[in-house]
Amino acid sequence: MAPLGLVLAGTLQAMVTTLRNLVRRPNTVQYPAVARPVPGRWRAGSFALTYDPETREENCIGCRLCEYICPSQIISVELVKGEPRKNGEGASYAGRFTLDFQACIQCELCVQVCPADAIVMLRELQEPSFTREGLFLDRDRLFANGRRLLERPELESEATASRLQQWTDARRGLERAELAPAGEAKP
Amino acid sequence: MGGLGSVGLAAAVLAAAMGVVAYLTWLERKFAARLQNRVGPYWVGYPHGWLQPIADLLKLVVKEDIVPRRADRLLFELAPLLVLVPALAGFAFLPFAEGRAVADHPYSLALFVAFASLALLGIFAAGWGSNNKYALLSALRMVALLVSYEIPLVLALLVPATLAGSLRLVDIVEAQRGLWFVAVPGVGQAALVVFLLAALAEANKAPLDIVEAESELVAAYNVEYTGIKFGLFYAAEYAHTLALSGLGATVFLGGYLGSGPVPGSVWLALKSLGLFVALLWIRWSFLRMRVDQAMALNWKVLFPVSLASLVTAGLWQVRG
Repeated sequence: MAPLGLVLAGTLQAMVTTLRNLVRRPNTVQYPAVARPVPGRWRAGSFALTYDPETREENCIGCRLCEYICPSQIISVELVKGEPRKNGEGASYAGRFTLDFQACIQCELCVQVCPADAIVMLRELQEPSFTREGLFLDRDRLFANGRRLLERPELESEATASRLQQWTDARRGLERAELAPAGEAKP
Repeated sequence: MGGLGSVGLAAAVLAAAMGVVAYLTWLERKFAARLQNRVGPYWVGYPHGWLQPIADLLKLVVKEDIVPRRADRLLFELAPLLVLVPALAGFAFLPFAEGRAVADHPYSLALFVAFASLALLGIFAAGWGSNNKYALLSALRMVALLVSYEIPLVLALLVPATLAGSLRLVDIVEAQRGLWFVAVPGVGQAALVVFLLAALAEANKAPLDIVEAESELVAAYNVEYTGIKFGLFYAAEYAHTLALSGLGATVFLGGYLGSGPVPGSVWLALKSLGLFVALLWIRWSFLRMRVDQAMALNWKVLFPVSLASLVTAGLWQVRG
């Protein structure tokens, strides 16, 4: 058995610790009543397909890169050829775009590979759903989120493909323009 | 006092005890939460969850009553009452005003302890009747623990009895008019500490809750109980703790004695609540002891200390 002094000191210490907690303010945040600020790179929100704020055109070019990289294989995109965009960003669209949020692991890889900054994560707390369908994001729901972003840009996660690229390059001390051949760099 | 009057008095004390017990669960949850930097019940009865006990009670009442297929039906059904009734019976002996208790008896202190030990039978009935190995193990531990801790508990309670020269709780309180027994140098404090630790074991609260030991025994002897029968066990546990706090307040802290226009029953309630909170404070500050550690604490520390303070109190009494 441990020395008596040690036992008494430990006993006292434990009781003082709990007593100190008693007079301290609790750490709990009363969530539904008090909303904590959502971090800039929040990754537990829903998804949106964005629009170009100026021309109001869909940014998604239907390239299916997100479909290929998704580890859970929950994204499915159909590429449709169409008219060239006014902003000169290609001439194809997503005809069908589904994302089954049930199995999403919030890895953000789809956002990172997107060449058009089209898919982004939402910087808001995910609304709960009572049905499986409620977590199934089709083209309409993704673009509806995109239209919400036009009105409230602050809901967009700070991480988009090109911004992530900028941050990485800045850390490496590189200019994007130096690496890529002229003309292919994104504006 | 006439027969009818004493029945009415008993009913009033019983109702008060049960109402208080319901809200003791709330008190424990809030207090424990604050000790752990949490808030505890909050939204049911906003703010601070003051409707939570009622919600819990309603939930327990409407839940399905399940009896295991191979349970010993008689013991299984009887056990909750066998536990609750002795726990509540203790309140009958506590004097709540000058010379007034529901059952005033020359040996009321001994009777209180005797009734408190009766709960053991109910607990073993529950453990045996459930036909569940965890429940039975828990009940066996309970018997081992309580039979052991009964000894320092009773020895510690005999210290005030010796100082007062009586086993009658009213006499013990009256003997504290000059000096509460907790203030008797050395002996009083030692006896109170032993009493508190033994009370923790009696109420099977941590650090001496080897009976409950969720990580080893699922819950306790009441694993198989559902609905209001589980609720009765739960109420019994709190009633037992409260009765022991009331007993501690009576024999160590002067019971109903107090100053000012405040009635004695309020003083007793305040002192009991203080001891109850002290028990909770210990309970939420420590981890569970192993079985052998709990036994070592009992036989190697509490038993000698309580025996020594009893002998000292006896010598004090003989000299003085």
